[in-house]
Amino acid sequence: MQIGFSFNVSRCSGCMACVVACQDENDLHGDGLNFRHVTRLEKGQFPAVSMSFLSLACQHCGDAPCMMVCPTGAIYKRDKDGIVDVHQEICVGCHSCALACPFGAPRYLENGKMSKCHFCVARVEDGREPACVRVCPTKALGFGSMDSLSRQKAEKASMFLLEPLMKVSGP
Amino acid sequence: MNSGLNFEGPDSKLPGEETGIEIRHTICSICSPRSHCGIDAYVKDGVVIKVEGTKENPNNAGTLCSKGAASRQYIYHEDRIRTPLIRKGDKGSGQFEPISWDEALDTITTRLLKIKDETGPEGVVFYAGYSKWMRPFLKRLAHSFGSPNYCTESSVCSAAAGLAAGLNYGTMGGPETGKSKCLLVWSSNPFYSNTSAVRKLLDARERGLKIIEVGPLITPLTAHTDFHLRIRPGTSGALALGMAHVIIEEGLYDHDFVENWTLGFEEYRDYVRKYTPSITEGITGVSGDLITKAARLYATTKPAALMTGPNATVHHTNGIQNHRALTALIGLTGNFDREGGNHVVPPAYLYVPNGVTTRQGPFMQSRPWEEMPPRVGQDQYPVWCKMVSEGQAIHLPFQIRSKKPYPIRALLAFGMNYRMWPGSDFMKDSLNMLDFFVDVDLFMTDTARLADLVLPACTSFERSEIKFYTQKYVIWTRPVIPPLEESRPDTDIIFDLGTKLAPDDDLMQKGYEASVDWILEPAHLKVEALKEYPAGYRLKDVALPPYQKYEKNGFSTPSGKMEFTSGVLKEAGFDPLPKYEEPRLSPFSTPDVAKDYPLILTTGARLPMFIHSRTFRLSWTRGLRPDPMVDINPKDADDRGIKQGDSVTLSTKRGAIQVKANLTEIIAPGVVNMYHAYSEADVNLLIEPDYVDPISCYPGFKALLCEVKKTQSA
Amino acid sequence: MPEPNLLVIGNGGAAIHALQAARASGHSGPLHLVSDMQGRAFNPMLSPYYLAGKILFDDCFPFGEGFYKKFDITCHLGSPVETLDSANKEVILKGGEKLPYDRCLVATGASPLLPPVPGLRTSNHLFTLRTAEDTILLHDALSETQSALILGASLVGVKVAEILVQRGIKVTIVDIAGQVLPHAAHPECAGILEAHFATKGVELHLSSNLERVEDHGSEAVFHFQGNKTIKADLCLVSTGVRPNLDFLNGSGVEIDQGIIVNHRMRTSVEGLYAAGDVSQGRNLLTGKEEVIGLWGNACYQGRTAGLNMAGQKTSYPGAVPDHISTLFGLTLVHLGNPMHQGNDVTILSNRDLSEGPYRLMAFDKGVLVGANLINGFESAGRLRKAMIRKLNWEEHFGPLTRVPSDQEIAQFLADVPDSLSIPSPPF
Repeated sequence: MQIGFSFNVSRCSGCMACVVACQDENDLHGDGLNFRHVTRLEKGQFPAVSMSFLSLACQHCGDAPCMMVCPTGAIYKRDKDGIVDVHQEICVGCHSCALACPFGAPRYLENGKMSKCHFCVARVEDGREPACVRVCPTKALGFGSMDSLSRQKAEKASMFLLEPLMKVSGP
Repeated sequence: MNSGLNFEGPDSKLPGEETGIEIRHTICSICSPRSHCGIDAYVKDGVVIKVEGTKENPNNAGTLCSKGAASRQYIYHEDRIRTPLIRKGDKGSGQFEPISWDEALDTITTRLLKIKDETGPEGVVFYAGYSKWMRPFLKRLAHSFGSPNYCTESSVCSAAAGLAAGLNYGTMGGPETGKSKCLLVWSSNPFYSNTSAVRKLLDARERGLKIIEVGPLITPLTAHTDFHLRIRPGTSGALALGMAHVIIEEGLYDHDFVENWTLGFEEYRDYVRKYTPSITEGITGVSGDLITKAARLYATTKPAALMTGPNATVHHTNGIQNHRALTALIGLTGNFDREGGNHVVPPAYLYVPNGVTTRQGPFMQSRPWEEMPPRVGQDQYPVWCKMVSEGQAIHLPFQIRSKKPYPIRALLAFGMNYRMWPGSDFMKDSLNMLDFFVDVDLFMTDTARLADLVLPACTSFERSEIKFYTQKYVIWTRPVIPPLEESRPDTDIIFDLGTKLAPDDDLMQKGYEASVDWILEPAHLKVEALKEYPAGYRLKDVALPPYQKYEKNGFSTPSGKMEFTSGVLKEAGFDPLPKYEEPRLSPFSTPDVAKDYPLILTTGARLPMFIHSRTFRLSWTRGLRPDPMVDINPKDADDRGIKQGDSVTLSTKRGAIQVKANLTEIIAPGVVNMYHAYSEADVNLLIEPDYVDPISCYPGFKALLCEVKKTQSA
Repeated sequence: MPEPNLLVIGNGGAAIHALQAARASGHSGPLHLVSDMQGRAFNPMLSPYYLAGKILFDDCFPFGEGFYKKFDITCHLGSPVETLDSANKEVILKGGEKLPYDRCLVATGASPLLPPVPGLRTSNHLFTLRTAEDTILLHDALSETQSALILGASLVGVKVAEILVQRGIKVTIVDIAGQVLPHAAHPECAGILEAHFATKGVELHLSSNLERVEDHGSEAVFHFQGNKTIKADLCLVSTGVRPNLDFLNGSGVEIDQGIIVNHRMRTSVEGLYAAGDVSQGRNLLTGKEEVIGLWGNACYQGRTAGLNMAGQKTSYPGAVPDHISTLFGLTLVHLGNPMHQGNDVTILSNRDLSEGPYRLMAFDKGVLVGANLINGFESAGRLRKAMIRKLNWEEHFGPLTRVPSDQEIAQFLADVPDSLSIPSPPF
């Protein structure tokens, strides 16, 4: 099974509660150290302007490029749910994953090791939502198995984000 | 930025016996009483290690905003005041030394009683800023002490909107969004100011709710609207009159209501006749076609409700009349106190209406006004004092300086921020002229630094309070952790002072819980019983009042009707019609000023991660927007050779601040937007202290003139 | 039809991923691995971390002890290949043993290239850093080294220089080019790095042409054009690598810089595949086939080869040259070709480091073709995506007059779908 986030772009107001809830859950106290990012998108010019927001963390890609380029095998994918996680004790802090990830998801702790969204794996296994999903005041963020998410006809804009990066059909 | 947190939580924060993590319930009180979301605090070994929204709480249903989610940095911030402090160096030097609570409270009572004895109790001002939870008790303390001078930050918050609507209707009602078919949102951004409410708003939109938005900025709501009327700041009144013009000319108004329940319609009709769509377009910048379409949609979709922000429409030098003009549309279209329109529900407690009746009002007014000297601002703002049960705090610095009609000698403030005042340096200097200034706060703020005595308060996580929700829900919170260091709940401080400052006040002597019980008596609720429900209690047998109560009771205005021509204003010498005037500073009213300061400056629009200055010091929230930035349209920036992130000087005739440029289309060409309250770039320094509305004394924060220039590097 | 007999020559990233992918895709037939090395697959990227004392030597073998058993691989280790008989589909080992195959993958990697300088090859002070054996030799030599000469200011050379400096060794970096990192850094960026390296005590000799090397007991003397000489106890040659393909002479396989492959990693010879540093690949920036020489590229190519050998039709579009490395405390990103030249080239950089991290971006007709970042690598992955997608920055930002911020880059890229649609190569 592959677990994933769903994101309804039309409901996101850019309040960034997801960013902070993630920092709280993960004790990310350092400046600018956050696993989730919200980007504001503006289209058009006055007076025909539209604004929308995109909340992004690690996409736990089906075929994760960070994992392919990791020289130590520190980045791995869990069989049972497809969560991409990192064994920090194996990470050497080479930053290869920073270059491979098109979402800017990998973050680096003070000790140089990579850290990133792990889908609140302990919470999910305990039957809870990831912290970012729980906090979302407009219910723009959701999560579930990719099968169930695609059944829910997630917004087109969110679906393209969830597409695997590479067209190579991996094992 | 050091968060001040000196601990790390465990790897996974699951509650349970194994982990030793317990969930305890409380509420967030960082923002306004309309939110105050329920919080589940994850506590391990007496320390909060994580927060999330309480699922059972119907207000937030498990969610939070970025501010509430940052609670942990708020509670444990290194700037928390740890002990009572007494000033050591010169006033304003920020040098203090710790003293005991007994010494501190003795000093305060001695000084205040001496002032009362020498020049009368009115020389002592009791001030409540944020949060608002201590207000009933502080106001009672003030009046029981004998001072009429209970002032609050409501002197720039929602009170003027209530005042303006009150002039029209006596009592105003909020939008009944869930039952409405059309929502006219006027200069309000609930996505950032009342986050817990927007889930239902979006749901209603998905079910087909029509939405018209009025306001100068693109907000997250804009994408969900049928029409967005992007006005020039300060022209709400003109737009409302223009919409009224369409509604009246096309016969779309509620003839029955207008005929039977209003005063002055003919004068009003004659007055709005000149606000044709094209004239109104010239004033507001909104196309006449759009004005017509929006007016038709609002007037013909029944029921329709008006949602205004608490203050965006009244933060103008023409604010009261602006707000009167736009709220007049409710009655004009027959949506006043109707189902799905604006339903009048009196607040139960602390600004929250839910059908419950309490004795908050009588509790607060422990001594009638007639038995006390006039309030701060009463001579110059009589309408304010007639309509609002407190002094006008914005006038405070003027009275401190003029000593007219009597000297103000001492200030006992809870959560004061002098940067709230227009010309904030003027207020700061005024504070330094006081004989005695006590500030109670969580953090060593810029204002606390000016005090003679500083007392440490604690957060909502460390105290007990009663909290009502509009969803017929109530919670009596219990501390989830003990107060940090020597900090104490504001109410403990108030009631301790009350024993000596108000010895004749029986409830002040009986204490906090007894006082809450007294207030709750009509609701048949008791603190002791509510303790059984730590996550909150769903109120039973509570019904909202009926609709169209005016048919039975009339309106609580001088005429007993809805007043297009206000009797109160007429008596006070103001124009009784909701007349439109240009902002005191605008390209039209002051073209000479506009030559050097061609851009309209609007300030104070909400950002999602801040409420005023309250979460500035938290790295989690500050990190989301680290620099003070002025929002400027790319076209205006381009004209000035300004690029994204450039250091720029934002200046008015009064002063200048250094900020970064944020090029964005959310702001229209010709207008710039600056968030307020930054210590290092305080935009209120750019506004004259007397740049206020003549009726309410509300500052014209939202429309003045400025220029932005690229800062030449030294 | 029985499952084909698959054979892989090599024991690096490409080989391992090929074997793993073949098995995981359902191949149940034989999988053979042939390597001149003993033991598990070694990752040369990790040698510097071992030399710096950050990881154990054992950690340089990332695939774990049980890999070969788990995937049921028949290993022929310590068995150098003599020749490959593509006509008879046989691999002939040095000892004469013949291993037949149905499909064979050449994933033999590359070896350090030694410049033809008299005395260099035979010097007792010469070291390279590629294999596990190289790593041990260099590691053991360091305890007795006082001074070192790094020949080649490449990423490997500078990285080793940093480690040596940390160990208190006097380090001189020499390159024939006029700048450090001539293949990875724009001259402006290189200038910033050179100044930084100098503050760390590194002596730089650029535009220096080594003429000969002489051993004098415990040290070697390096003679440069223009009568300059430098003495050092140790010399690391880091001037590049060349593919290991000598055994393919007579196999008929088409070779350019490396083995020519198509998007399925097939060579010009039936049943023969190649992947990793021994093969070429498509530079997505230029469209040209060249040796790419990146760990990630090798792994992708290997996986693609393994899948195709096992009967899956899958393709690998190629890569852009990229690298990220922390050198003397600065994290340097190299993307594409920052030195790109042409009539429509715009180069933007923020030289003023007080305004934030250094960024240099080279655009050709509005399309990003190269970048260097020093620190501030937040946007590195997004820039790489923009480069691969050939996004036009001018269309979004208007005239390119300044380096966009991380936030602006995120906004720009947020709208772009992430799937790649690269046209298939011609054959």
